[in-house]
Amino acid sequence: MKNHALDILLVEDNPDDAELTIRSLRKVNMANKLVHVKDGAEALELLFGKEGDAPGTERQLPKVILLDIKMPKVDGIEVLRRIKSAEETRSIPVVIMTSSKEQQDMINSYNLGVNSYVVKPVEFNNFAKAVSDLGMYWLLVNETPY
Amino acid sequence: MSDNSNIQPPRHLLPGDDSEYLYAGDIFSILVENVKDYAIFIVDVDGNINTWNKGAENIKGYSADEIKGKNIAIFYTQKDVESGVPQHNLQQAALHGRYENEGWRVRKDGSQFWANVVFTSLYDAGGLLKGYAKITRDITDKKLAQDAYKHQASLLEISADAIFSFNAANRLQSWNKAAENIYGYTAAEVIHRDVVETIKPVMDDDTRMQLRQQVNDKGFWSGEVIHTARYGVQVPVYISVAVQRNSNGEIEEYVCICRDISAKKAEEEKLRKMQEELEKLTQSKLTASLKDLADYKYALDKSSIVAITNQKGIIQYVNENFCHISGYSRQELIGKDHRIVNSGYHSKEFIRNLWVTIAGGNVWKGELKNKAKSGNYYWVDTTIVPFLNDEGKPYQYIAIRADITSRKAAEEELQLLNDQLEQRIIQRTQQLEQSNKELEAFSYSVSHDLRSPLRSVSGFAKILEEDYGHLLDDEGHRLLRKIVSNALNMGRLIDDLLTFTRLGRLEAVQGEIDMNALVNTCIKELAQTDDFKHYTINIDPLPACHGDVNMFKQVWLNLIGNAIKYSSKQAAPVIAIKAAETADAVVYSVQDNGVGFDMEYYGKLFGVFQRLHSADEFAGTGVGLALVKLIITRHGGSVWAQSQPGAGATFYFSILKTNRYEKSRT
Repeated sequence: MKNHALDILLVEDNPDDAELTIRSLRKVNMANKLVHVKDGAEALELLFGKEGDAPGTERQLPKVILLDIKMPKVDGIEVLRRIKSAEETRSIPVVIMTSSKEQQDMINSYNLGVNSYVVKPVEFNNFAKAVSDLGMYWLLVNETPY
Repeated sequence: MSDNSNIQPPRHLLPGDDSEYLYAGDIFSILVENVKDYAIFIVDVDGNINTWNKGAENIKGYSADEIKGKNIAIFYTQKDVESGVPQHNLQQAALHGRYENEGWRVRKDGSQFWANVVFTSLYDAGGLLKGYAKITRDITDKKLAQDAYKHQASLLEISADAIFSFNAANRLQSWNKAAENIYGYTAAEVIHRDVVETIKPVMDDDTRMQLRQQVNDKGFWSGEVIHTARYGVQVPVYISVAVQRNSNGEIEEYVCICRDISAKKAEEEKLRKMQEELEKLTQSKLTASLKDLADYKYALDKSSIVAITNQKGIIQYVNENFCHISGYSRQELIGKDHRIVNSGYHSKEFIRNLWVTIAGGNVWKGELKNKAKSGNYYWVDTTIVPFLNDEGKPYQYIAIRADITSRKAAEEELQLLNDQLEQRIIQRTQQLEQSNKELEAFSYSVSHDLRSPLRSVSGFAKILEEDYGHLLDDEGHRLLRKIVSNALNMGRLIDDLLTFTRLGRLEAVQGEIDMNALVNTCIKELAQTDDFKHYTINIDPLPACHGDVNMFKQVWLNLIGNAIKYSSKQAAPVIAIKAAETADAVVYSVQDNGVGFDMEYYGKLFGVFQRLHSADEFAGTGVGLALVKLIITRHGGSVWAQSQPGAGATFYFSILKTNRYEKSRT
């Protein structure tokens, strides 16, 4: 089993949502090894490295990725596609967390191999519960091959 | 020939018996002796020859010395002798005193001649038969002539042609059997009568002249004339007339041979009549055909634009209509080819195909755009028919056209309109698609961007409460709760609105829906958020229906949810879910015993964001029933409700049994 320096990669452009998410996770002690990036481009950089990186540069792969869909530059669907089509990232669980109930987004996500699709509840209590449940599930309950 | 039995036999005296006659007898004897053309001799009673004259010697070939004392039997043929003819003759003479007959006699040299013989009995003074005087004449020539005549006569008799003769005085002389048959008169009736009166020949003056001329000049004429038989029956005959003249050249007799040609004439007449009929028929047919043809041509000329060209396409004929539509005079057109009206509109390939078709002997049909003298164009529906010669090659073409310019103009206009319409539809469709996309983008934004701030509002209010709650008094907490509940309400509103707009865009998935199962699912789902354990809910068996199961789920959720909500203040809430079938539809209903509503506001019941109750009384967004109506309408059904304030409400929706979800977007 690989030692993960990173538990959760949160990809969220909305700072308020990010703050609420992180707070919810922190409440259940899940935010210790959490990295928050503000758009898809940053997420891809973190996962796949950027141009100019020395070959073999160690990259930190998270145990779970919480991914918003509607983001500037590269959107969540594209990030998901890249994650699920690359050998080294394919097995990382990805949870889409979105405000959108748009069915097309859900269909696309599942087609690309998303592990969970969660519509963020408007009500904060529910939201907080959903987020912490997710964190608990993917970090503690779920078993991964690595 | 005939016996002269009625004649008293004269009594002749033997010469020398009477002195008175002696003298005379001597002279007579000498006379007799020297007669050369008659054999005159005397035989005795038994027929033995006593005397013999020069004539006898001459005719019979015997000399007096040779023959005297011989019996007359020597002159008869073997056959006559055996039959006893010589004796018979003598007996007849003895009996009648005179006996004349004719018959074949034999000369000394054995040759035979036809003899006329007269026996005269001779008596002595005492009246006793002493012998016979016998006079024999050689009439062989006469006999032969008679035989020949008889032969001819028999020939005449058996002839099928009428043969008759008449003399110069027109008296009929002979009249054969056939004449009797043909004319119906017996010979006895007509002999010696006037021939013209008898058979009344009918001939025209020319024929009569010709007849006379020829008979006079050549003694012969033949031709067809009509004779009249007994009872006036007309008999056409082919007559041959020959003239017999005597040695003086005088007309002795006319001989006519007439052949009955009535059968032939009848045949001819029949044939003539048939020909006549045929000719008449042909003529009438021809006349009728020509009339038909003329009628057709007239009709064609009146109705159509007609041109005839030779095999090279040179115009030979044009009718009025052609001149009229093309604007050219006949003189301008004849001798030209159709390029004179060529519009240049049609491709070379098109024109080549036309020529290949008609040159191959086939009819060409099509629509041609031509150019008139004025430069205006006209359209003609054209049929070109090649007329083929005996070798099957076209020698001319007839082009029949109908003016379809106005139709073409209408078609072109229609086409233009269609094109424009199509273009407009494409534009509209694009616009629609565009606005749909915009709507999609809009609802996406709404769902994503409007919900996020709301979450932030409720989230940060919560954080405020958690982190700084101890600094707030009760009023502060109440205000915070207000913020949270408003944010939640706003969230629901957005969700409902999104659902509503999404339904308008989503394609329905058609299927058979088990309504009872669906209703149970909905109740279970509702039970997750609402508490209605104390409700009495009666569900009748519900017929299945055809439609989109997710949409119908929304319908049931909304209707049952409403029923639960609006009867929540009752002490004993009762909800009844039923179905009733009509001939072609199923009507489903949800009834509650809740607060109901005033029918006065029924018009607002199914409107979007329309509410009949305040949010304080009953929470709600005013979208639910609008959604129900949208879904039911899109399934071809209808929705309605019945209520009284305080007496509960019943919502109905009907779905046609033959329902097929219609895809038009509302």
